[in-house]
Amino acid sequence: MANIRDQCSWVHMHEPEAATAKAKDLVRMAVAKAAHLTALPEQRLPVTPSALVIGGGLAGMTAALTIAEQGFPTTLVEQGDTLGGSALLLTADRFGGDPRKIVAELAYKVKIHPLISVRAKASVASVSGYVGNFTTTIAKKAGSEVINHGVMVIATGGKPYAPKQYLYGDSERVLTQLELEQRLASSRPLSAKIKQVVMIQCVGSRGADLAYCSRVCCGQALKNALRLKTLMPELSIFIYYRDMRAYGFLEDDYRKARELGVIFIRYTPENPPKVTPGHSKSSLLKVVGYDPLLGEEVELDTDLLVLSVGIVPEDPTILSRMLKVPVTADKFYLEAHVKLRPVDMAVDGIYVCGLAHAPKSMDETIAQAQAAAGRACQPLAKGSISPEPIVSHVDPELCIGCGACEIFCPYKAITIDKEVKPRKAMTLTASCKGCGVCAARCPTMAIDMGRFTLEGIRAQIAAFGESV
Amino acid sequence: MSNYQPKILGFLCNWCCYTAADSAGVGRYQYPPNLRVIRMMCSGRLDPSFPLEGLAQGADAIFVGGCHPGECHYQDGNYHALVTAALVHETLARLGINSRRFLIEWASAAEGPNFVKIITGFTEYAATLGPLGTSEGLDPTLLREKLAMAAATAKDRKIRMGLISASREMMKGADFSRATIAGLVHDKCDKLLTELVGATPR
Ligand SMILES: Cc1cc2nc3c(=O)[nH]c(=O)nc-3n(C[C@H](O)[C@H](O)[C@H](O)COP(=O)(O)OP(=O)(O)OC[C@H]3O[C@@H](n4cnc5c(N)ncnc54)[C@H](O)[C@@H]3O)c2cc1C
Repeated sequence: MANIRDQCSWVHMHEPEAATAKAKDLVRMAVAKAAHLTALPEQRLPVTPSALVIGGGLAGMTAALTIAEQGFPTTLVEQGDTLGGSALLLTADRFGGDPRKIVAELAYKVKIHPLISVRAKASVASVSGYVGNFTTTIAKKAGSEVINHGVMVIATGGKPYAPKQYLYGDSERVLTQLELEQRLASSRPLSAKIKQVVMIQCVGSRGADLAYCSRVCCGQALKNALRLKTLMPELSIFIYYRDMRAYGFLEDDYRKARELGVIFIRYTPENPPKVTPGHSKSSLLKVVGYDPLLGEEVELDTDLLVLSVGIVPEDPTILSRMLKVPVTADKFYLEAHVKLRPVDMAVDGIYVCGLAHAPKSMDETIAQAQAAAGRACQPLAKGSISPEPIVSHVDPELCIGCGACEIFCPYKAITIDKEVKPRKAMTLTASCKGCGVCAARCPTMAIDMGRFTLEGIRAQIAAFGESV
Repeated sequence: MSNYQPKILGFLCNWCCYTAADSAGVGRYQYPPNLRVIRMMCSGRLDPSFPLEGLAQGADAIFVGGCHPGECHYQDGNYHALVTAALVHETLARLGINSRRFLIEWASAAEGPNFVKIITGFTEYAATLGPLGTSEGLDPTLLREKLAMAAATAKDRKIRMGLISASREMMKGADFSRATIAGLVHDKCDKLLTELVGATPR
């Protein structure tokens, strides 16, 4: 393809002549490459019709159930001893439902489903293979178990950020939204003496310890503020925020909170509110913040300070290396394409959902888990796969059997065939993803890549030169 | 000289930089029209002969774009690209060419604006150097002949064996800083490069 729209006319809108000259060059280069294209043979490989789901939170359970309900056996691996994950820490959703109950019901459905096998207190020890034919070793205390499966879903979730700022840990009056949720669900939530509550948003987020926005904390603060107001209508609530992210129907909560008298005070990241303890343990905390809209300092005494902390993904280092899938700088699993393949991983047959992918609310987690399950069922339902034919191939005449390709291949997709003498490299077509590292490191240039051939690239370079 | 437009050839990886370039288009970010792009699946595919051939064929500068370190779609292809890049830098320096005519940088698929910044900066820099040979004070025709020879040298089996061992040590040491990688490539290829291309200028 000659990319003359996105990479030419749209980016040189004010230089039509130069853009046209560039377009001509790009077309000439593309034609030069096209002259070397050949039909590539497609392979057809069978698919093991079963799935592995890693992580037994809301995302993993939803995905496992969705896959199993389409008739495919599914193994669900959970490292902890119970299913449920982070949702068990929440005590209400926006509508007053109890997530702990909903999750318990879901866990029950998962456990009794005839096609789902749950492996709790278990972890993935090793993975090999490719879409349609994965082999995974699951490690448990009692020993290990090897399973074959066609696809897998990553749902390893996340956990709350552990704050150190704003006297958290030093004062009993400082707690996180999750701790407040626990209290709100207990038999005696708050002492009647409490008059005033201050919440601070974006604690540790958006440029501090976490670079990103965790998406759920604004909604959680609104939800908990409304719960407090229902419980104690006279309570004064102040919310320090940077930007309220009350997207979708959360706007209704935001409006309701303001109608009920919750006061929202803006702060800037350079000038966060300062919290100082009172004289004794029992005295109130003092929160002083600069309100940039008012242009003045606001001083509040508060009985409780509630910190809205963000979400930290479960450390993906070991698993992502094992699966050969990329993660972002923030350690969330990186989808293959934000818009076109939002629940696929770069490696075919691996999908992602829930907090492992990015911060999101429970309903978003469920929707994404269903999407991932839907994608995962595609190769299972089809029964066979045809890998992209952009794979490496070895010219046995040139190959000296040195094995460099085998060392550098990230997918174990090229090996030295020990059967033939002298030794020669050999591509395992189904595993090869076409990156071409083997070709770049082959000492004799015996390896070439489908569709991105040496000849083709050289022709592009030469065609580039013709314009000069 | 003010109207001089450098010819830049780019090799972009499919997953990050090429996608970043597309997203720059979708966002209508504007940048200088000097770059001509060849798409590859991974920057790790970059053969050391490609950039040298590009310069020999008339490019004034070469850009290679990949995924951010640690975010390679294929795990570590961009680190291997750094090994290749180190050889290209070495070779250029030995030919008396400003090695900054070859740039390798990263932009993730989501970083259209970053891609634009990199290309704009590099184009402006290449413009200050003038056509190949100008800032070097060397005859361009002769230089391009030498570059074509250097491209052939990059296909030499022993040089490539040097790159293999540099890549291996890089993976083993897990230090992916450019300086360390350049050091490894220098250690492995210095003797041969001196023999085939020329000594490192002091
Ligand atoms: C602080 C905080 C506040 C939140 N507030 C709200 C809110 O108010 N409203 C709302 O709608 N949503 C909220 N959420 C989001 C909601 O909790 C999530 O969307 C949902 O619970 C995520 O489910 P999950 O399955 O993706 O992850 P998790 O629930 O984290 O589950 C992941 C599971 O995978 C397991 N696991 C991890 N690694 C491995 C491994 N290698 N092998 C095997 N098992 C593994 C873990 O033990 C865990 O059981 C909040 C989340 C947090 C953290």
